[in-house]
Amino acid sequence: MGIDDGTRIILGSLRNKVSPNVDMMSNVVLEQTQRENIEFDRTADVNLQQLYIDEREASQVFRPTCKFSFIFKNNYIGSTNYAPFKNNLFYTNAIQNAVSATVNPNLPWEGYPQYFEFDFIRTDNNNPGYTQPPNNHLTFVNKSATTYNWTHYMSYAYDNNPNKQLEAVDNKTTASWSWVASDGIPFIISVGSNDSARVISFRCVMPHGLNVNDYVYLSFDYVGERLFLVSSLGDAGFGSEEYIFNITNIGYTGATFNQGVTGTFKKVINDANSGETMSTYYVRRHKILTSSENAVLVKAGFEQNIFNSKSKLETAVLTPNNLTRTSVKEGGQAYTLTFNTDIDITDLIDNQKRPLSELYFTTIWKGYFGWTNPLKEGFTFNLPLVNNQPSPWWNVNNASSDTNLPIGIYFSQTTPPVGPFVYTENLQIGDIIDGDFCEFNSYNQVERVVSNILHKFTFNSLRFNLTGNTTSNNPNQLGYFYRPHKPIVIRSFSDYIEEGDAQLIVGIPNYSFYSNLSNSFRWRDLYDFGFIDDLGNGVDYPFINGKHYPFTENIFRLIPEGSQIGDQFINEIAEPTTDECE
Amino acid sequence: MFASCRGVFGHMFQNNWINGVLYMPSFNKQTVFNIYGQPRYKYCDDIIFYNDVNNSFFYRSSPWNGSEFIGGPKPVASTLLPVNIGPQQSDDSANTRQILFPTTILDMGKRDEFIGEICSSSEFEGKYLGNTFMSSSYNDSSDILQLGIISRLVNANWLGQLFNSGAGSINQFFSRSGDRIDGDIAQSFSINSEYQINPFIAGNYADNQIYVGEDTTGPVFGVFYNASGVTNNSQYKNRRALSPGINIYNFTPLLQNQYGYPKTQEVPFYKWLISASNSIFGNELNNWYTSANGNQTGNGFYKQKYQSLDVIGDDYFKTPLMSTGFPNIYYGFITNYDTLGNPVISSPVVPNPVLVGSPNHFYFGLKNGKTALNRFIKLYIDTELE
Amino acid sequence: MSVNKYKIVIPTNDKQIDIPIELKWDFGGRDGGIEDYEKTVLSEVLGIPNDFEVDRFSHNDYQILNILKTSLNYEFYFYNGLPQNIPSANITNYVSSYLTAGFTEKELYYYSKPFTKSFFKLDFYDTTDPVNQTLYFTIILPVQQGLTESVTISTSLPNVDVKKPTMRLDFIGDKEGFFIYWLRKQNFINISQFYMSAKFFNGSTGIYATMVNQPQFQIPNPYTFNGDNYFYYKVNLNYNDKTYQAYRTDNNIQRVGLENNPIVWFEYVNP
Repeated sequence: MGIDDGTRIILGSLRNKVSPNVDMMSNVVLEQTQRENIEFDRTADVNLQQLYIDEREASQVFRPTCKFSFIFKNNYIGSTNYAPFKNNLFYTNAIQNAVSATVNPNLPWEGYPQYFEFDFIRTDNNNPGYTQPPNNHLTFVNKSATTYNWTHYMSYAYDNNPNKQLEAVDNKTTASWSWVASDGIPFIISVGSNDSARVISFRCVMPHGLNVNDYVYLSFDYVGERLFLVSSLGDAGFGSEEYIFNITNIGYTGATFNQGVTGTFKKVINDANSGETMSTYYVRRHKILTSSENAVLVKAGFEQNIFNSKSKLETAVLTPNNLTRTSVKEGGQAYTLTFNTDIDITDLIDNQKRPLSELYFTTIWKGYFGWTNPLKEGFTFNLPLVNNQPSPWWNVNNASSDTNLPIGIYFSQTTPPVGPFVYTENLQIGDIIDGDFCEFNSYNQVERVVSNILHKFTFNSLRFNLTGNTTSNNPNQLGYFYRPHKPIVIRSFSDYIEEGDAQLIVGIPNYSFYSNLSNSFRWRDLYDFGFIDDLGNGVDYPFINGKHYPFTENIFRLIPEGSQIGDQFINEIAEPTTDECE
Repeated sequence: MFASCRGVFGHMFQNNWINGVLYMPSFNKQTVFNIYGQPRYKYCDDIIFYNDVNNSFFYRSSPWNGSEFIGGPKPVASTLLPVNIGPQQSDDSANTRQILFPTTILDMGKRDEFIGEICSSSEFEGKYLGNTFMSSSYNDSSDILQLGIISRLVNANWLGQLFNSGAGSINQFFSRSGDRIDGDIAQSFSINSEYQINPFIAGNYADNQIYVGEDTTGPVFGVFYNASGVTNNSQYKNRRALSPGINIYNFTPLLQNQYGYPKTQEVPFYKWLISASNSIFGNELNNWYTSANGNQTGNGFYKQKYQSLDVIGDDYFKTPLMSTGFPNIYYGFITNYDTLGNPVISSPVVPNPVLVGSPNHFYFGLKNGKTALNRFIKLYIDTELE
Repeated sequence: MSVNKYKIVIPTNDKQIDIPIELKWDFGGRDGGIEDYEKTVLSEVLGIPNDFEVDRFSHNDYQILNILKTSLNYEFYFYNGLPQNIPSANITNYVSSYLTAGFTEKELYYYSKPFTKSFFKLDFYDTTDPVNQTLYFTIILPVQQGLTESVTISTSLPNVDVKKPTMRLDFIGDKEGFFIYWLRKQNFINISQFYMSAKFFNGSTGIYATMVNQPQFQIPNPYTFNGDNYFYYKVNLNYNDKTYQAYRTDNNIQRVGLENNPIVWFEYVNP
């Protein structure tokens, strides 16, 4: 209703002196038009495919499955005098040990621990003197066959720890670094300004993740300047681009960039916006989502890995207990892991406060039979040997490499009891454990794993002493490594970056990054389930029962120390391939 | 001596077990039908037996009375023939009792050396012997013959007899009945042809390991044989693995594992009687003991499971000097060493008569290079030089 | 509002002017409401996805002499007498051996086809009433599992071991039939108690032999009886820890299937 400005309703007394004031009344007619809905008038087309898509998008419940191909090389020979262990080795010097035992039965026997000690599912449940009475180490409970050696969980990246203390040793120059994760990536200058070369080469012990024309923010400055342009990557060595970056030597003077100088750097994408485009570095932390009882581990049919199993017959006369048996050194069974509980990620966000895009199969060495010491943790850059010895990082006395996993102890059931034997306790839902060393660039919205976390276990030298241990209680023994976390992608972020103004665009996700420079939000979209782009990003797992069924394969390697070059490149110039045709 | 170069000494294998390919001689059979059309067979029932239940012929094995191998009577000429025509009862060139032709199976061990690594089963824990077998275990005996002749030539008594015997001089080598060579030389031939033994060739034996002597009956010749023992694939270990199935890992202290041959069969044996003498080798008159009694185990021939024969526990040649360790270990053949490894000529022999040869003689075929063992070697044994 | 210019003269009586004020309105978000209602109706019509995921239920653990055990034990007995002699039979007529079921020693030792094609069939129902019961799932126990007994196949050979119908199933070793695979949630079918019956399929005769839970001669009327008590064992599932336990149908306290109290089945013989 609009009122004409030319209409004035005024009191009578104001209109005329003698006009009375009278009430005016107007009837307001409210008109309303309506009609009844006609039954069945509204139609809706139901598209099964669309319904499937809608249900699939709406579901946030996952039932992940993983197939493990367990690759293990039984590498370490040791000796033991503890009878249950001694009677169950894969003997390597049986004749000599038997000859010595005729003189002194208490001498230790040498050999490998059998494959049962490392297998995902133990099957030596009926071994008198070891897993069954009399005088056994412990009594085997068949239900625990899948949890005596390893325990399995689902986890996700919960938050970041930028203050994690890290150490590394360069096995080529023996230079060492000690830094916290937030400092960045350590380097050593391999070709310095004092070498009068055209570039200054920085060598890192882990992949630097830089591209040409990126910038690096160094931990030291040159005349107040700390940002330098990356002019090239690598040197003549094969694969060196991942570990070496170079800046142009414009004639730097002084000792700042001399060969041998160490430091740390952070990646910067745009030097004009270094505050927003500088990467952050941290150690991811995982939160456990399931308990050990939820894991269902079974054999994957008759599948074996490509390496044959190795076993041999131990003749009675060449055993300490004079019993003929078959000892197994290595096996090749594959396993399948599922969980009897659903993983609901509805309320979960990752360490970057984004919706979860990855879950992790977390496998932890339990070692219930007590052959090993408590677990240590480190990263791939801690793998290489230093002077043919394990890196000092793995020393028992280095608290920085201790895991925060709970430890259990027990004594054996032998007469008299022997111990203590230590093992890793089961984790509970909600427990936090460390993950990989990562880099995240808020401007690019990309997280990169710089170095995978590794767990290491060594043998308890009081019960099984490695051949080559010069002291009875070596604090830094050779051992086995494994990667505890195996990621499974459950959603993919887009390959492109969306950018938008809040006032102009609706639906900006709450995890987006606000750039002050461009006054806009930046984010990567989450692809729908089932969508895979040209680059292969995206997931398309089966969706049934209203739940997602992601699946992945994990080549789970138990790596003996010293046999793995690791992710380090071989700094050799590759020889050209020649054959008879050339 | 000229005769010896002209092949007057022939070799034949008798009275002992030999391992090889089973040979089934052919026989004649005549079928006669009665008035009802039912066949009846005529055949030599000395070696053939007809089983009418399954209508099959079987080769006879050895006479058995239900508990003992009693042997068969030796063949003698019919009394209808004139005297001294044909074999006589008093003639000891034939065996007193005849074991005849028993056969059994010898387990030669794993077919492939690596089978034990694939199948970690106690069935395959025996030692691999496949690459130790030859087409024949026979070793050249010309050196032995030569030394045997020399041993005769250097003996004055023997020479006298030789010159006195005139045209029959060569017969002095054949002191045993039936024109069989002297027993001491014969036993040396036999030992030299055993499986996994140090053969008598130049360089294998020192002078003190060769005995040339005499006793009241004439010259005596012998060789102190041995077999290598200490290394992993030694001859002695292989012999022990063949029978009774023992893996020896260490001699001092003794570490061994007997896996045995549980399915081996019990069979009879002739024993070898060593004549009383001042040496372990006996004399020229050493001979087979072919009576069915007097074998120290009661009536019947000595019997034992073929691949359970054990040089320590069974009636093989032993002397008090022998032990379970080198160098005077129980070999099982006629030899004698002391603890220092010196041959010792005289020593009481317990027991006597003794088992000889079994199961260590092998002979796989007539055609050189085309025997059954050659075929096996070609198929299963890697003979390529690495 | 545009109005005509009226001159209102004071009348002797009151005048009244009707001023129509037109309103046009509608319920806000009605389209949205209809869309929501449409979705609700569609979901009612189409339904939501049901979850048919199965989980693995294992035999619940127990203790014997303070030793934790998990094995599930079955013993099957076959009758070796004449069918008409059932009422006068005794316990020795029931033997846990496939020889009593009609197989020869050689058939057992050499795993002949008639033997390997035989099996035990365990059916799980919701009730013991044969008229109304629903068969939910079946577990097959193969004859290649189980303990062994020593028999003679030849007088000239040593005794050999052949399988017998006594099974000790567990996480390791013989485990076919140890796990029950059933729905993970009770939303679709709310059931946690099953009644298990057993039959033996004889591969040599092609006949199913029904089994009862006690020797037939101990049943008051061995040929005419209420099958509810004799043809079944009770199996209770625990959805929380994914385990199950077995009981006799007349006893909810004493577990069966244990090493010292196995699930015993006896062949039922028709007269």
